[in-house]
Amino acid sequence: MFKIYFKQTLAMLKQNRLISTVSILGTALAIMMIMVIIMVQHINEMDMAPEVNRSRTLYLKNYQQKSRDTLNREWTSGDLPYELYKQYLSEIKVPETVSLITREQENAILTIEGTNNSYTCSQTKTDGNYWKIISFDFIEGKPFDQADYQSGLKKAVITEKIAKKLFGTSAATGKTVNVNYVPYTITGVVKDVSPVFTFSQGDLFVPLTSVYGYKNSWGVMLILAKSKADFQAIKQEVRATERRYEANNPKYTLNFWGPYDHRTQKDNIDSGTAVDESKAPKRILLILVILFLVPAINLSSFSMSQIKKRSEEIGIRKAFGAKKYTILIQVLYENLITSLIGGFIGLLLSYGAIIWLREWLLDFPDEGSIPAGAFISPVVFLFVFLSCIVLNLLSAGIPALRTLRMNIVESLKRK
Amino acid sequence: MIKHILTIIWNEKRMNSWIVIELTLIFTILWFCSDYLLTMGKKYSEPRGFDISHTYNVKLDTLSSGKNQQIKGMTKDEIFALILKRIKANPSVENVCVSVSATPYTGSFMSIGYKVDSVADKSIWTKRVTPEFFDVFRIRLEKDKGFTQMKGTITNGVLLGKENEETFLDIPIDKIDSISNNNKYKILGFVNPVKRSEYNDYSSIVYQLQKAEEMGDYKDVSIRVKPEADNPDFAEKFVKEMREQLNISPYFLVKITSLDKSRENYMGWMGFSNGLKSTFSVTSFLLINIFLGIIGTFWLRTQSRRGEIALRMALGSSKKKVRQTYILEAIVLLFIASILGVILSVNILATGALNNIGLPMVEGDSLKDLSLIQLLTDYLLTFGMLTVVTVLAVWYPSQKASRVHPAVVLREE
Repeated sequence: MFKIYFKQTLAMLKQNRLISTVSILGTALAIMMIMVIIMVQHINEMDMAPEVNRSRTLYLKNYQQKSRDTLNREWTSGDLPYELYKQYLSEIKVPETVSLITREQENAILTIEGTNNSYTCSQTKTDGNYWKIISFDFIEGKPFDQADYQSGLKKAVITEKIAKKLFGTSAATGKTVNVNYVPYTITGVVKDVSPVFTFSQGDLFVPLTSVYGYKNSWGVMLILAKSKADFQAIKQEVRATERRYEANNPKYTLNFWGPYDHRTQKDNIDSGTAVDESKAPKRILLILVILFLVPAINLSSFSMSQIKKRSEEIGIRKAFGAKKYTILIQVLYENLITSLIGGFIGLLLSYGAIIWLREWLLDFPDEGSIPAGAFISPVVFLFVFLSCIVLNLLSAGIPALRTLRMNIVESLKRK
Repeated sequence: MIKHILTIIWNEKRMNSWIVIELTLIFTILWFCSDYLLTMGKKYSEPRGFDISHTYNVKLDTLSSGKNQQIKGMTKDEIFALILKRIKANPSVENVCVSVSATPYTGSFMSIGYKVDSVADKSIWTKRVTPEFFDVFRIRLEKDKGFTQMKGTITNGVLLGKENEETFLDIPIDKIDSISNNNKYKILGFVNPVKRSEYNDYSSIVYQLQKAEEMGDYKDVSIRVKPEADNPDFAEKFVKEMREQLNISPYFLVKITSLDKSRENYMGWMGFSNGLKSTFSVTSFLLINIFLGIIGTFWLRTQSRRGEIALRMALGSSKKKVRQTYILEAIVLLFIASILGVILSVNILATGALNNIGLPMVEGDSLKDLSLIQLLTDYLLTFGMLTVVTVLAVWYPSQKASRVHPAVVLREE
């Protein structure tokens, strides 16, 4: 029976070319926009190698200190300073592990002893715990550990790209490279990381303590919880450290913004204000509602007229005993075919849009590549299918219900 | 004619209510988009107050040891001054300055409390700069109260940046005598209004004039390059040429970045470019949808109205008239929707619901800030955009309608 419906639908589509094209295009456009939003969220939020622990990681990026003195209203805010981290935050108990990372764009000059070449690259300064939070793919060698960090040893991990630039090969473990004119030993080489990953992208990784003047640096704190259930307890522990600081420094009040989960930390840009965690979901909901509603209104007027034309056919079938339910299914099914065709085209368009506009959507430069898991994943396909069904129901549901209530005699009379 | 069209519209109110609802919804959303675009456009067109063409930020860093030049017997500050001298001596460089939290598009921001005349504690945006700063970034001295005579820093000298032509901090400039906090500052003049970026408003600024050695460890060095010497490769060439000269322990040259690049980073960081791009996408999405919607609706209408059109043509209506009726009908529908849309928009603005959602609205967008002129321009822009799309969409169906053959159709009836 469904095979007949299918053939009927195709015939109908061919019959009325303009309307069919308009319906399919409208659906495709809506699905494209919806899928772009969903895929961007997917890429930004879900666990994806090497940031495989995003769902149980919290991020603390800023602090604000205010003077209690009402005459001298002084306040400072900014990225998390090393000393503040070391004295108050590094020892918190609830999480599995914590780490501080500082990343500066293009501020490391790499030179090899005995050659004239020099390359400028980005430098990430971190500790031994970092490697437990982010799961890098080591081509060879291993990372520096917490003991190396405590001693401030000059060890480095580089990416494959840098290894090839410096040595012409990715086998670089054990070799020496001068970072800002100071010799470092390479302990390991990792696979390149796409710039999509804010907390693991980089060219060169060194222990923070090995850098001159490190005590004056700032960074971002990564907190790996044992499980999501611990988030509240961790936040409370951070509040407790604020109070400990205030007890030691009675002239000031201290606030750490967060720590926030991965999705929320993206909104944490300005160190002057806390993030209102309820805003982003509301915004996305509103946008999705608009993206569904507007095409649905368009498509429903088309569905209405299609159905009106066939009211005679529906009347005859009802007269011969077809149940209301059967007819409803047929109408929805036929409409679903259009939705699915549009959905498929929309999905392809959304892939194109993300690749073409990735600089804007995902904040990163053209040379980067997006991991394939972002595009081909069960979550993505599930969403496309669901969106098609929702769109289908919204646009064909009401017209279909109305036709059912039509009197058989009336519909037969309408020629 | 209009009355006739209104009658036609009323006759088909069932069908028309769908399209009017859609148009109203889209009009409302586009109204907010237009408001955002117009406000941003207006701010963008205002002069920023500084000029970053041919300017670069020079990034120096320090190291503990290393095989760089060692000059014995000079203090760190003296070495820094030597580095500045060597930069200035480069034939491509027009001028050099040093500053803290001051270069255009810098991420850092400093705000200090002052007492201006008798107005108590005000927190004012503060920049610490050497006198060359104003040359490098082409900020004009608009009222000289001793700056040019001094030709250099004097202790606690400041220049005040106006927030508009006449006032600093809402006080007329002529009336400002003193500014102080724990220090008493000497006002050496006033400079033109400056914004933090194209999309911000003008603010009052206090420029504290200092020597490089008074600025601590986190100072920025900026240079202005002669226009004839500047080109896309300049940054690389400069670093290659100057590295040896400027690598004097404990300092070394990391890189130089053009202010255009800093600007790109800043705009990205602040989300301005994102806000604009999302507004453009939403606008395009809605316009394409309404285009499809109108084409489809009017196409269907053509089919159901064939008898009526044929009758009109038989009674003497020309093809042109038929087309015109179609187009007018669409525009009248749009007009009705636009009135409903404006009412809806103003109500939404009044509830302040948008602030809760964090949409890229311009700061201070509430009903009180909405001036009549703004309301009118937003309406005109939205109505304009939709009219263009509507007319384009109705064109094809109207053509098809006008090609109805009266005799054929009437016989079918």
